[in-house]
Amino acid sequence: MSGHYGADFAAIRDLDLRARVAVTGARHGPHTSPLHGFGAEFREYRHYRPGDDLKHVDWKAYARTRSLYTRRFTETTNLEALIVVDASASMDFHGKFPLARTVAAALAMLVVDQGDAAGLVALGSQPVQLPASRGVVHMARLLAGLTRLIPDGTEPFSAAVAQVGPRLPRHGLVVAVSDFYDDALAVPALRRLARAGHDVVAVQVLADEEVRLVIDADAELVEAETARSQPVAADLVRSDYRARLEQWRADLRRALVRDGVELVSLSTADRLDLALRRFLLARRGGA
Amino acid sequence: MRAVWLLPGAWWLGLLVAVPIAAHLLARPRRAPLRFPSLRFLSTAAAPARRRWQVREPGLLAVRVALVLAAAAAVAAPIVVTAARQAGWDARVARATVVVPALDGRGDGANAAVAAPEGVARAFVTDDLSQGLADASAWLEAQGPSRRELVVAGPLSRHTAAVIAASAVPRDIGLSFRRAGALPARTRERERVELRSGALWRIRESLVIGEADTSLQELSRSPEAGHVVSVQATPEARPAADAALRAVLRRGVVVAAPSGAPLSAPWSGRVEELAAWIDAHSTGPAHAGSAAPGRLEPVPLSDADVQAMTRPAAPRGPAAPIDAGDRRAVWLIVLVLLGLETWLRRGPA
Repeated sequence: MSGHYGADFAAIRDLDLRARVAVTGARHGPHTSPLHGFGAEFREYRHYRPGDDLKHVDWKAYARTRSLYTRRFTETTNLEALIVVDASASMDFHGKFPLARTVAAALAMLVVDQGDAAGLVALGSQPVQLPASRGVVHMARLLAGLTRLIPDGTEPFSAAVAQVGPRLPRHGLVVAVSDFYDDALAVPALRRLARAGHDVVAVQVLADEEVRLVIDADAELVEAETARSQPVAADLVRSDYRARLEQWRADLRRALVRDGVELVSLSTADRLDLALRRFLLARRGGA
Repeated sequence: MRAVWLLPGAWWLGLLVAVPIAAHLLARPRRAPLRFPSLRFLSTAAAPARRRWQVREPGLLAVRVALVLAAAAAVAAPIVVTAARQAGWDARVARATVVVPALDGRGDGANAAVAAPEGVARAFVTDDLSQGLADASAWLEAQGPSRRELVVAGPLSRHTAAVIAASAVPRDIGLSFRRAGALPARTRERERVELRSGALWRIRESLVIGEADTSLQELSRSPEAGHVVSVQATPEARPAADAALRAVLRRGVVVAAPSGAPLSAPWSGRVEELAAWIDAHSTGPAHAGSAAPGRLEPVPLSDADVQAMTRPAAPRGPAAPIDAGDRRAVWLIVLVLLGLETWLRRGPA
C-alpha cells in the first residue's frame, strides 16, 4: 500500500494522528466527539429530564437518594481527514512538490492505518478529489492520485481549500499542504474551516533554495504562476529577501493560530521523518 | 638579452584592450531565465545598480586582454636580441661599392665589387656619384642585420668629398675609399673664336687649375678666315640674326663643331637662345664629352682627407625587412590565446 512513500510512513507508523478538537464521525472511534451522548466512556450524572432513555437512569442511585439521575457518556467517534495538496506551479521548485506529496501520503497512510478515513483534494492539470474513506483499496487510489499530480496548476490553492467544506460535512481533520503564497485567500478559507469546528493543520512546504535564495549571482527570475520576470543580483538582495520571507512566515503563523489553525513549517533541507514525528508527538501531547 | 621592436608604433594597437574591458564592464550578461516560486520578497532597487560596474568573467577578460596585447606585440615585430644572435649579426658584412670610372677609362679594376667574406656585396657603377651613393644606401638599408659598409672606388677628387658631404649616407654605414683611375689633367688647352674689332680671331688658351686658384694664359692668336658658325634665318630676319651672331661671337664662347664643319644654328629671335644652342653643339679640347661637370675636377683628395672621411661600420641591430622567427612565435601565442578564449567562452565541458 505504501509504495515509495513507505520509508517516511514507516518512520511514523508507531504514532497516530489524533484530532486536537472534537470531531464527529459516523462510527465509533478513538477521537473525541462533540456530542455528549451515551457512548462507552462515562462522563457525568444529570438530573433526569423527561424524555431521557430509561435505560440510562441509574436506579441504584435512585434507591439510595430517591432522586432520578441519568448517566451521561462521552461519545467517541472515528476521524475523517481531508488532505488538501497545493498543485500550483509555485510548488514546482527544487523538490517542494515531492516533499508536499510525501507529507500528504504519509499522513493519509497514518490515518487509514489507524482505522480512520482519509480523503484528498488537489487541483491542477490532473485534479484529484477523493472523499474521505477507509480501506486498502481506497488508500491505493489515494496514493495513485497523489502520484499523478503535476504541479502545474494555475488555480490558486484557495480554490482547493474551498472544496473542503462540502466534502467534509462533519467536523474533521483538514491538512492543507502548500507553500501558502496564496495566503491572501487561502488563510481566510482555512480560518473559516477552523471556526466551523474542523481541526485544521497547515503544512507549509518550502524549498531550502527558496528560503535561502540559493541561485546564480545574476539571474533572471520568472515567477512560476504569473510569468513575471525580474533580474536579480542575488548577493545584493539575499539578506533583504530572507528578512522579508521570515517576516511573512511569522505573519502567516500569527494569522493562522488566531483561529486555532496549527502551522507546521517544512523545508526540503529538513529530515521529514523527524519533522513528522515531532508534529505527531506534539499533537498527542496536546490532544 | 633585450627585445627590439621593428614596428614599435604598432604598440598603439594595445589601446584596443579598452574594447574587451568595456565590454566586460558594461555588457549585460545573457541569463537563462530561472523559474522561481514567488518574486514577492525580492526588492528591485539594488540589482541594476551593480550591474554596470561589475567586471564579469575576469578570467575570460584576462585572456582577451592578453590576446589583444599579444596581437599588438606580434604586429610590432619583436626580435629578441641574444648575445649569440648579436655576435652573428656583427660578423656579417653588407658591402656596397660605388664605382666611378675615370674619364680616361682607366680604373676598370675598381668595377668589381669589393667582396665581403661573410655577407653580401654589390657594386654600383655610375658616373653620378650622388646617385650611386643614394642607390647604395638604399640597398644597404634593405639588408638584414649586419655591419654595413659603403666603398667609394674611383679617382678621388675634391668633388668626391663634396658629394659625400652633401649626401645622406646614414651615420651607421661605414665609409671607405679606393683610388682607381686618374683624375683629369690640371692643365688644359682650348681654342675659341672671338670677334674683336670687327675681325674674327682664333685664340689658343691654356687653363691651369691649381689647388687654390685657376689661371688662364693666351698661347697664340690667329685670324680666322672661314665661317665657324652661321645662322639660318629668313631674309626678313637676317639682319637681326646676324647682329645676334656677332654679339655671341664677341663673347668668345664658340670653338667649333664636332665635325670641324661650320655650325648652322637656327634663329629663334633671341640672342640667349642662339648662344645656348652654339655652346651646346660646339666642342673642342676644353670640353670632355658629356661627362658630368663635377667629374672634371682635377684636384685629388689628399690621403689625410680620405682618412678623415673613412669611418668604420657600426654594428647594426635588426632591420625592418627581417623576420627572425620571433614574430611567428608571438603569433603562435596569439593563436593559443584565441583557442583558450574560445574554450572559456563556450564554457569548459
